[in-house]
Parts: sequence; structure tokens; C-alpha cells
Amino acid sequence: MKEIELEFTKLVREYRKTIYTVCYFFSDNPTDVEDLFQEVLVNLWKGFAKFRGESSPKTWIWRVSLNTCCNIERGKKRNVPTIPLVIDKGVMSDSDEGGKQIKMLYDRINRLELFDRAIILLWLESMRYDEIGAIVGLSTAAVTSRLFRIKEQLKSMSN
Amino acid sequence: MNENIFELHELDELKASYNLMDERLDGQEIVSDEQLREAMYRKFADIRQNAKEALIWGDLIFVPAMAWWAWTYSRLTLLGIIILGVYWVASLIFRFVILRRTKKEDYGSYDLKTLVEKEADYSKNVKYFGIISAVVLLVFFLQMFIGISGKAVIIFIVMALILMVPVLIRWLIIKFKYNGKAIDPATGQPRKLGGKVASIIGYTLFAVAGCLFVVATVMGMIETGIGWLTLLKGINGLTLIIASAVLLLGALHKRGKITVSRRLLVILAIIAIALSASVAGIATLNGIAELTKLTVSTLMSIAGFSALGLEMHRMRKD
Repeated sequence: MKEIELEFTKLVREYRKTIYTVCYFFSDNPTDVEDLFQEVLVNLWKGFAKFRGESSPKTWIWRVSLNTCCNIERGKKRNVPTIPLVIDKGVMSDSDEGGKQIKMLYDRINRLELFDRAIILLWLESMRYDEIGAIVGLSTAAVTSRLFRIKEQLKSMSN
Repeated sequence: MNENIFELHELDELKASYNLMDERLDGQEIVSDEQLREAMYRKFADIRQNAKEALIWGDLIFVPAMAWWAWTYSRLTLLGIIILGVYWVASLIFRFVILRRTKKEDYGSYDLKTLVEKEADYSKNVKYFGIISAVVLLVFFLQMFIGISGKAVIIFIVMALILMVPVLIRWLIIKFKYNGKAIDPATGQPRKLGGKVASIIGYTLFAVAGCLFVVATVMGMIETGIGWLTLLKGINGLTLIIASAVLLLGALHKRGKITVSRRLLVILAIIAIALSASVAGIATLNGIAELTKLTVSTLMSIAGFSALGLEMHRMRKD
């Protein structure tokens, strides 16, 4: 393996949970998660050579993952063959209390518009508002008001 | 107050669920070596990309070939060739400037809002350009084919379609022999056999297409009684189009809109000059004074266009 390939592999393994989380909340079923995951990997690799560390790796990974998932979900186009993920299927099942909690979170977030889904995920990741703005292309003030509206929406789902 | 407490509780619950999911994913490997290999080597084996490139190059070559064909059989008036020329230049600009500008090659360079806007622009451009191309080419074909012999037309159509066969063959090999997987999981490399077989078939088919094109041209010339003079004039027109392409590509390269290799421009310029010089030579040897004069002026234009294009290419500051 070349050095750049080793670096890429290391970075992807380090941020695998972030990529998986984004794909999970932007998909309709487990096969979709695998397809999206693969698409994100392809786009990360395409941009990896150009990534010079202007932003942190974490921000970059979030940006590419969200951009890819939003874009694909808008067009519902799949370009890659499905390759199974190495994950215990029981982790995300709703057979226990924890699983049910995660399923509830998924059900709510999945009902939001794609753009709002991206914003709330970044908020759940505890990112600062200016960081969220930089990733989604909104001002800090716009992020604040949008988050307020999304939270209202999430609240109304529980009623 | 109660409302705020309720909201905080709700949001805390969401955050707790999110953190729980994060914890559960901690021990999971998630990404496999096969997935990483597929991502890293995919760009070399992307069938869709091959198809797109084939279409672009098909358009670049097909339109001038079509113009030459039509000119040869006097199916194209001066106005017709101007329209076709404008279309061709517009298609070059569209493909190499507008589409490239809106293409989202690197998903890490844009924020989400910009990407969504760019994607919308891209889809809109592709849709409108597709409709315009279809209408222009359809009208052009209809007016051109009126009166031309059926055999020559069929050969011409087969020749055009045959250009897409290599892509189709490669797709079929990967689809059926390798179950749609362009990467060999054992080595992590693109399928060598598929690529090799496809290129051999591709080159053979290109050669067959070339032969068919020549056959169709000769058949058409015999049937319509059009002589070599028209053919030579057609070649003259083609050389000017090639030289204009050198100039255009050089200018776009200088402005940083596209990246073109200098070698490609030199090859195109040499082809244009060689063709034009041959026409001038043939015209002189046959004592066709009018054509000789015309070709000499064409040759000078070609040399000027090419030199300017190459100079512009050199001026880019990287």
C-alpha cells in the first residue's frame, strides 16, 4: 500500500463511527446504510489528496459525509455495489431498552428534512454553532434560529 | 417555565440516545478492507465514468465527422456549417467550462448549502443541454439524409453506434462475469482481464468503424457523383475546425478553466497542418488554382490559430 492509502485507511478507521452515524440517519433501511457508507468512502478518497488540513479532519469528515448523504438521498441514485459492513446487527436492533431509545431517535430525525437532519446531527455531536454554520453554509444567527425551529419540530413529534 | 423544562428534558433524551448509539458503535469494526480497496481503486474502474468520457469524446469527434460527411455530399450549406460549428463550440464550452464549474468533484470543498445549489445547477444544465442537443442533431440528420442513398446512411449509423460498443462490452464482462464488481476482492485491483479484453475489442471496433466510414464515403461519392474537389474542400473545413479547437482549448487552459496536455494540442495542430498541407499539395499538382489559393490561406489561418493556442497554453501560471 502507498503512504497516502495508509493515511486514508487510518483516518477512515478513526472516524468510522461518524461516517456510520451520518449514513444511518440518512438511510431508510440497513442496505441503504451500506450503500451510503460506500459512497461516502469514495468521495472521501476523491477529496483526500486535496485535503490539506485547512479544517480539522473531524469537520472535513462530517462535511463530506453530510454532503454525500444529502446529495444521494435527494436524487436516490446509487453508483456503487453494496459491500456489507463489519458490524454486529444486534447493536442497532430495538430488542432491548437501549435499542428502543436509538430507534426513537432515528424515527424522529428521519422525519426531518434533509438539511435539518444535517443540522441536528451536528448539534447532537456537540459542535459549536459557528462550526455547524461552516459545514452547512449558514451564518451563526441562521443556525441558531433554524435549530430553534428544528427543536420545536422534534418536540411536537413527541406530543 | 414548564415548557422550557419539558423541552430540556426532551432534548436531553435525544442527546442521551445519541451518546448511547456512539457507545454501542465503539467496539465495532464497521469498515472492512474490501470497502476501503473498492473506494480507493474505484476511480480506475468506474464504468459510468468510462461511459461519460466515451460520450464526450464521441461528441468531439462525431460532430466534426458529421460536418465533413455532410459537406462532402453537399448536404450542408454555409449556413448549415456555421450552425453546426456554433453548436460544436457551444458543446465544448458547455462540457469543459459550465459542467466542470458545477461539478462536485470534491465534496469536502463546499458547504452543504453550496453543494445543493451546485447540484441543482448541474442537473438543470445537463437536462437543457440534452434537450437542445437532441433537437439540433435530429433536425440536422433529417435535413441531411433527404436524398442520400439508404446503404450509405445505414453504414454511417452503424459506424456511429459502433463507437459505443467497447463500453458496452466492458460493462457486460463486469456485470455477468464478475457479478458487477469492477474490483477483484482478492488483490484489490481493477479487473485486468476485463480491461484488456475491452481495449482489444475497442481498438478492433474503432478500426472497423474507420473502414466503414471510408466505405460509406466512397459509396456515397460514387452514387452521388460528387468528385474529389468537394472532399478536399470538406477536409479544408475540418482542419479549420481542429485549429479553432486548439485555440479554444489553449485559451481555456490559460484561464484555468480546464487542464489540457500540451501534447494533445500539438498533435491536433500537426494533424490540421498536415491535412491542409496535403490538400494544398494535391491542388497544386492537379493545377486547381482556386483551391490552392483557398488552401494556402486556410493553412495560414490554421498555423496562426494553432500558434496562438499553444502560446496561450504556455502562458498559464501554475
